[in-house]
Amino acid sequence: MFSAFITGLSTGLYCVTTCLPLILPFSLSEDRSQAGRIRSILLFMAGRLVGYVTVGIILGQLGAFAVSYLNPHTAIILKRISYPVAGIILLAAGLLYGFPHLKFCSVYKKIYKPEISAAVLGIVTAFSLCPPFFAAAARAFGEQSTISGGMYFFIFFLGTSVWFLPLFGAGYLNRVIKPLRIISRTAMILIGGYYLIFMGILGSF
Amino acid sequence: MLTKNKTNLIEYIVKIIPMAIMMWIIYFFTIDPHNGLATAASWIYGLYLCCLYALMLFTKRTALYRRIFFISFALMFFPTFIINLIETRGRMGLSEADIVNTETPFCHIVIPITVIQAALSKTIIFPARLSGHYASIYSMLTIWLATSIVLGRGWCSWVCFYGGWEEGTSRLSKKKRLNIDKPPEQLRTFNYAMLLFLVLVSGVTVSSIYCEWFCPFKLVTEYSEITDFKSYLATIIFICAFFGLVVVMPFLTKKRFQCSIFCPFGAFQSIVDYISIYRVSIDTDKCKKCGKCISICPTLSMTEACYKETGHPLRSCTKCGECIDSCQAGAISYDFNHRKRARKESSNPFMILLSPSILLPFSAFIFSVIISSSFAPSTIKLAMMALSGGIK
Repeated sequence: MFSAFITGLSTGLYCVTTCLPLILPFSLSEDRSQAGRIRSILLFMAGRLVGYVTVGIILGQLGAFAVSYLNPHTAIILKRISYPVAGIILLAAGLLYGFPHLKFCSVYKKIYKPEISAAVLGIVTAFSLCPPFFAAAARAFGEQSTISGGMYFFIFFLGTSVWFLPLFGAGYLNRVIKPLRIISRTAMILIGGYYLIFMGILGSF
Repeated sequence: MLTKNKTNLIEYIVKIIPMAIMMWIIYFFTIDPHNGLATAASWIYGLYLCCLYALMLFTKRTALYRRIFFISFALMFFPTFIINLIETRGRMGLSEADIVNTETPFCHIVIPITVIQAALSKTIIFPARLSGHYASIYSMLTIWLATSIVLGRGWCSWVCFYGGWEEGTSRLSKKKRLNIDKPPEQLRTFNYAMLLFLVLVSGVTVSSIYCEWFCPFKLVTEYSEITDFKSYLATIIFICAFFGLVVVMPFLTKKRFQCSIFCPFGAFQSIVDYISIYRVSIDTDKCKKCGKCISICPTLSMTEACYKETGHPLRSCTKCGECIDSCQAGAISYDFNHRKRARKESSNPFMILLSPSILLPFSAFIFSVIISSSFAPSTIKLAMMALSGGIK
């Protein structure tokens, strides 16, 4: 289990780089209190945890059968699904925060829940398979048990999470740099649009 | 006490010192003494630079002569750059092989994206050579660092070889057809959002997505070869970005639209500007609050709060000097950075040499000379060859 933590810790910077475009503008753009912002980040992390543990359990349970399906081809398919989903969430939230007077936003506002969006973004990033994920998956497969596999990914998640700690200072940044909220909202729209169109739709060609 | 006429005369004589130093710098960096036509071209360019600096120095119309230099600088950059590309790799188009062989010139616009990614992941995401190339990463970083310490965002009005396009197109029309003098905050901060977006997403894709999809200057530098639907789409985006952001919008708004709204490097330089030596100051007591500076500022860096409260333009100010030239009350001037109150000009004519109004154009023009001398004489040489029928 110690090796799971070390694997997470040593590859965590890569995980942060992958997750930052989704969670950083999201947490900076909210009109909420520091507690609300921290809740969003925690829910994002919880989403990642759910995704990781699910994969860990599947790998531990199904072993070699699951591993045979966990290859770069699967990673590409999962990315084709996860990028547009993340893009739509960010684009919609960015438009809602940045342009609340739009007709689409008044409709979307009724169903929008930042906590749910944060959690879904977390799950989506957990399933966009990256090299650290493959490294952890190979070890989880070796555990040959449901509980051990899930546990391995749980500890791996804790290791990577150390790199996410600076995110909790986002609220402070927002207070110091006044236009940061507006900048983050615009960036969220741009990132959402890029994930949806360039990485999602065009990435499928 | 010296009379005003005597003071003016001494000031003129004193100004010969920076003029002489500048002439030597121009000679050192520009003149090519060994090659017939190239020597003639370098002398023409050297004399042109000397005249512009002398006019800046003695007429005090810094913005006008900087603008003339800046537009000609941009126009002279592209012919030589494109010919360099054709000479080194045989064509203007950028192929997959060129990227693999790192034959891509490193452009300053991707500095923030590359530098931040390198700091975070120890990976350089731009396919250029670190050194030993005519536009390598190290050489560009060195020039950028030195310029940023002295000028900060001033890079965008004195050193950038793209900005002259917009400066030119924004001056083609006499009246504003679209007024964006007081833009909404989303528009004013859009380039910061571009910077945040590009830095974050380039980290995920491990590539410079700005160059792949969004650069407005691909049309006049190098472009990706059209091989599939993606490259076809990218080419359409490049064409639209150039004509939309560099030609049409500056023409309509009389602002450097791409520089102030879109360019991520401009946003980065605004942040770097905190460490630079100079900035522009407004004497709020002298100011008549006419708002002309808001209207004339090409980069949307003046607001009412600037001349009523803060006494400085926004950090996006490119130190072009347009507001200084246009202020009839003489309330705006170049100043040292982080000085709390606007600087009072000394009555001692010899102290003028230490004044930011002399030092900033002097140091900025040195960078202009160094950068432009690497290609402008070649363009003049090409023009001379074309006129004499020497280009086949």
